[in-house]
Amino acid sequence: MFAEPLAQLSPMPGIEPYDVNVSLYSDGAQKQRFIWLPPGSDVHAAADRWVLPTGAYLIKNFYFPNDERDPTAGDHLVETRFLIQGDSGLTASTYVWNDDQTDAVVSGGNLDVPVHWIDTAGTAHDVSFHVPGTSLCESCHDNRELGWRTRQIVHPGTYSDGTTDQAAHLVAEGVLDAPPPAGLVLVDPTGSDPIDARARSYLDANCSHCHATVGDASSTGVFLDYESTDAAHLPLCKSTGTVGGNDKVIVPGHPEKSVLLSRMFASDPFVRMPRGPTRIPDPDGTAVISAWIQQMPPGGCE
Amino acid sequence: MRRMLIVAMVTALATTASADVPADNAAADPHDWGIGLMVSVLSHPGGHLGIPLPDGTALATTLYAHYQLRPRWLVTAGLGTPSGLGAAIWIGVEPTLRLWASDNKSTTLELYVNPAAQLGFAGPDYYANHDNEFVGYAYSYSGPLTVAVRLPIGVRLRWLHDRFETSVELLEMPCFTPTIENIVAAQLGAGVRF
Repeated sequence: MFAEPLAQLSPMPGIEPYDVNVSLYSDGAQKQRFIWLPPGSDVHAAADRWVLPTGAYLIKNFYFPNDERDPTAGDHLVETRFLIQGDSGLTASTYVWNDDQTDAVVSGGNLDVPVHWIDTAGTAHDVSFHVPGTSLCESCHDNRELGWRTRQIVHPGTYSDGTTDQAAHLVAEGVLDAPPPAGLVLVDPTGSDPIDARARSYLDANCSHCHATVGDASSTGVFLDYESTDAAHLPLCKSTGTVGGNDKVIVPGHPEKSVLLSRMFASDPFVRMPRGPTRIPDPDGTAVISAWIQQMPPGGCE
Repeated sequence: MRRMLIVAMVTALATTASADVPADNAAADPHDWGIGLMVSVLSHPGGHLGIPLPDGTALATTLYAHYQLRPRWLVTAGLGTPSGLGAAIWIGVEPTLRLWASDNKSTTLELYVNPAAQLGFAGPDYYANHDNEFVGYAYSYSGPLTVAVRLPIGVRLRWLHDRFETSVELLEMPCFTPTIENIVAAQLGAGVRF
């Protein structure tokens, strides 16, 4: 799927790169995404979740820049995940890159990869990136891919074919069957849009795969998809299990009293949210959620 | 030291159980079978599988069964989610020593040990405790195998003419796979005999 040297991730013909508006936090790892479709097939741009054809491959590479200040310093690849669309659902597999960055070997996951990288401020980070076990894939994906939706794929861009929107570019490349119907588009949580849009975008991308009407956490009644704004499911002042002395999911105006934020900082992997392979609280995510809760008007449970 | 004490207790109980019993204890117990539930009220390391608690943890829970093989010997078996592990089964033997009985023998208090061999799965708590990682609940019944020895020592109250039993025990559980570690728990049990 990639030309040699593999580590440069130069896609072979037919492997189309794409990106999402809001990425799932992964302990600071950056991602490169690609899609391959069987000849003659395309993705159906439905109103919300798009439909992948049988035989489609989704490829996601996890990497850390060696030095964010210097693009020539290159990247350190840690993991490449595959999702393959079958007749009755998805099959997941993962490959872990060797230290020489010459190849990746199939793995059952559930192992740690030490990574050293430097951020834009010059701060060095030594992280232990956890490659999740493939048995955990189903827990979040629930037999569906998560990024191929209008809200994640539609965004401006400059492409060699002259298109100025990713969805239009994918149509031009034959990946998408038609421009998707107009709909919700997630915004950058660290950008300049209103705080409510930024926070809801973050929650939709990082939490709603479980916390929605369809998901592992649907029984909690806490729905964090962008559309859930009704009082029954938007968890303002909603009681929940005690975490760090707090027992309300969101206490308007008080992020320090809100379990939603407490869970993002929790050290217990059963308590920590999003539940999965991350170990480091998301600095950008916790900042936007904290600011969002802080500016909320009183909800009567302060 | 604790393990030596338990071995000494097992030896003492086995010797006592094998000795001729006084005439007033000679009759076989009328209820040969027992089934019940054990919960770990304190354990190290702790876990999240079992009866859920408000703080998000859980009481590790095991179903047990035993058969009165001889007046002071039982064969035991169990199935559940021991502290810090996934699903597991165990089988063992249990010598007992009667400490006290009411005048009409309707209530008795006995000391017991129950060495047992246990086979199970590592479970999500194992990875949470060892790797600070949530690996998913599927590991409860499909993770790496665990081999352990159960060494509980406890006291049991048998009451209402041997119909019911309640117990409290200290459980030491040295595990040999996937890693060598020792799990310690305080357990409460309740069951019926028939």
